[in-house]
Amino acid sequence: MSDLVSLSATALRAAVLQGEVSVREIVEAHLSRIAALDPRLHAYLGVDEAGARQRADALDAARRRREPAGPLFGVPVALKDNLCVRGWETTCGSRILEGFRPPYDATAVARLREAGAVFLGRTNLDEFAMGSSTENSAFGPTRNPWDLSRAPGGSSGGSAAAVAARLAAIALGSDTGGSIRQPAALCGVVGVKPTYGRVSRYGLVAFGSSLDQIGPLARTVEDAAVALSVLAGSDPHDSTSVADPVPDYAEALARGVEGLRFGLAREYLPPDLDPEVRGALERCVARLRAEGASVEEISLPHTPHAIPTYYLVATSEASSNLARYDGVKYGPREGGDRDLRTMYAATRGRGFGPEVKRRIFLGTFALSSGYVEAYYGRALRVRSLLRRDFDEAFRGVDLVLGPTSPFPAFRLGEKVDDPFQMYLCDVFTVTANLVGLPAVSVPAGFTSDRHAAPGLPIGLQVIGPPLAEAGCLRAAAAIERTCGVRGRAPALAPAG
Amino acid sequence: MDEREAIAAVAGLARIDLGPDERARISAELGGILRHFESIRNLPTEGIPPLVHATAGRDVFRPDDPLPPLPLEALLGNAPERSGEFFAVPKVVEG
Repeated sequence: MSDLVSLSATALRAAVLQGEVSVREIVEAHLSRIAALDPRLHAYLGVDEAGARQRADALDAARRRREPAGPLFGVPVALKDNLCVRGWETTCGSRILEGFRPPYDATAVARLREAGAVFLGRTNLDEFAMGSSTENSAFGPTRNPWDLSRAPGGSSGGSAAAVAARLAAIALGSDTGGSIRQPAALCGVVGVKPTYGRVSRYGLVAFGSSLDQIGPLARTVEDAAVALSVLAGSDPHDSTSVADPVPDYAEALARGVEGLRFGLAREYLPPDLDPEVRGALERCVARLRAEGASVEEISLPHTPHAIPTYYLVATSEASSNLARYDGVKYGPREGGDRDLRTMYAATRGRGFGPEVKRRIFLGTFALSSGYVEAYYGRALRVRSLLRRDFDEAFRGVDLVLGPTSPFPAFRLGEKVDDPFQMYLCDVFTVTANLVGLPAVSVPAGFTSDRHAAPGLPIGLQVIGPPLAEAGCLRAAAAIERTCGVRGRAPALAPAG
Repeated sequence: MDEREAIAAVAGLARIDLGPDERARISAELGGILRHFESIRNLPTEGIPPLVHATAGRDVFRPDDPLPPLPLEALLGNAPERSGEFFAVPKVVEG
C-alpha cells in the first residue's frame, strides 16, 4: 500500500483488518518519515523505535491468532511528553525532570494501549505546558509544518506538528487554557478539549488541576471522535473524572447540523481579528446555514476579563502543583551539600526555565498574604461570571461558534519578548477551561495569497455545554465536510 | 517594603533562586502583567460566589480497599539521592 502515513487512523485500522497491510509496515512507514523530517520539525523529543516495532509485531501476531481488534488497532500514536508512560522518560520539556522515568502509565495512555494503539514517541511542548508556541521547551522549539519559520502554537505544539506532518496518525495533548485547540488551529488539524472530568487526568503531570484536560489531536474529526470514545470514562485514580456513560462519538457525526442552533459571540469578533480568520468564520456560518443550522449573534459579556482571570487561576494552581519539584524525589539536585531550603531554591532556580519561573512567581504573588483576595479571590468570582455568561448563552443556543485563535501561525521569536502578547493567543480558548466546557477546534480554511502569510491553516472552535462532546464533534464534522480542507498536506522536504 | 524586597520575599516563598538579572526582569514584567489584570479588580463582584472548580460540590465515594502500591524500587530509582529505602535530603535536624 502506498502512502500509509497519509491514511486516517480509521482507514489504517481497516486496512490492517482486511489484511492489506501489517502493523509493522505502518510503523516502519512512520518511523522512516520521522527520521527524514523530524530533524527539521522537532516535533518529537524522543522516538521509541524498538518499542514501536516490538509492539507492531505483537499486534500482527495477535491478528494472526484472530484475537479481537480494538478501535485503534495498529494506529501509530504520539504522546505529549507530560503524560506518564511506564519505562519512558517524561520530561515535560523541562530540565528539572530530566531522567525521570514514571513507574506507571497514565490512564489515557493505558486506554489507548488497550485499544490497540502503537506509541511512536513523546512530543515536544512548552515547559510544563506553559506557553502558546512551544518555544518555552528546554529542548528547543518545534516548527510549524506549513511554514518552518513559524511556531506550531502550544503548548501541545509537538503533537499538532506531528499529526499535521504525518509523523503520527493521532496524538494526545493536554489543554489547560487552549493547549490542544490553539496548536491544532495553527497546524491545520482537529483538536478536542473534553469537558472537565470526561477524561481521567491520572498520570498527566499537573499544571492547573481545575483546568487541565487530556484530549486527542487528529487529521479528521472521525479519528478524533474514535480516540475520544477510547479515552473518556471514569477512573478510580482520578476523583474528578465523571461517571456519565460514554457515547460512541463517531456514530453521531453523520447526523449533520440541521436544526442545530449556533451562537456567534460578538466578543469573539474583535476589530483586530485577522481579516482572513473572520472571513473563514463568515464562510462557515453561511455553509452551516445552508446545511439547515441557525446561527445567531449572542453576547458573552465578561470575555474581556477571561485572560486576567485565567492567568491568575492557572498560575496560582501551578505555583502549588510545581512545589513538588524540589530535588528530592526526581530530577537533578543542586546544592545538595547545603541546607535543605538552599537545596530547594538552588534546584528550582537551576531547573525551571524563564516562563515557568514567571508563572510560579505570579501565582505565588497572587496567593500571598495581603494580595490573595485582591487577585486569586477576585479571579474566582469573575470565573463565576464567565460561567453565567455561558449558562445564559446555552439557554438560547446549542453550541457557541468562533475562531480558535485571533491569528494564524506567527513567526518563531515574534512574541517571546512580551509575555502578555503571548498570553493573548489564548483569548478565545481559556474560558472553556475556566468553565469546564468541551470545545473542538477544526480546520476551516487557509490564508489566501492576499494575506501577508499565505497558505497557513485557520481553525474554528465549537464550544458546547458540559458533556456535549458529541454535539461539538457533529458540528466540527459538518465544518470539515463543507469547508473542504481535508486532505491538504504541508509540502515538506526531507532534511538535507 | 520596597519593590526589591517584595520580589525577594516572593522568590523566597516560591523557593526559587533568582540571579540579579532575573530579578530585574521579573520585577519589570510583573508590573506590566499586573497592569493588564487591573480590569478584574475594578469589576463589581459583590455577592458573586467564587468558582474554585467547574465540578466542585460533588462527593466521590469508593470502597476503602487497599490496592497494590507502586513498586518501591522504581520510585526510589528516580531520586537524585537515596539511603536504603528512603529519599535522602540534606540534614534537617542538628544533633
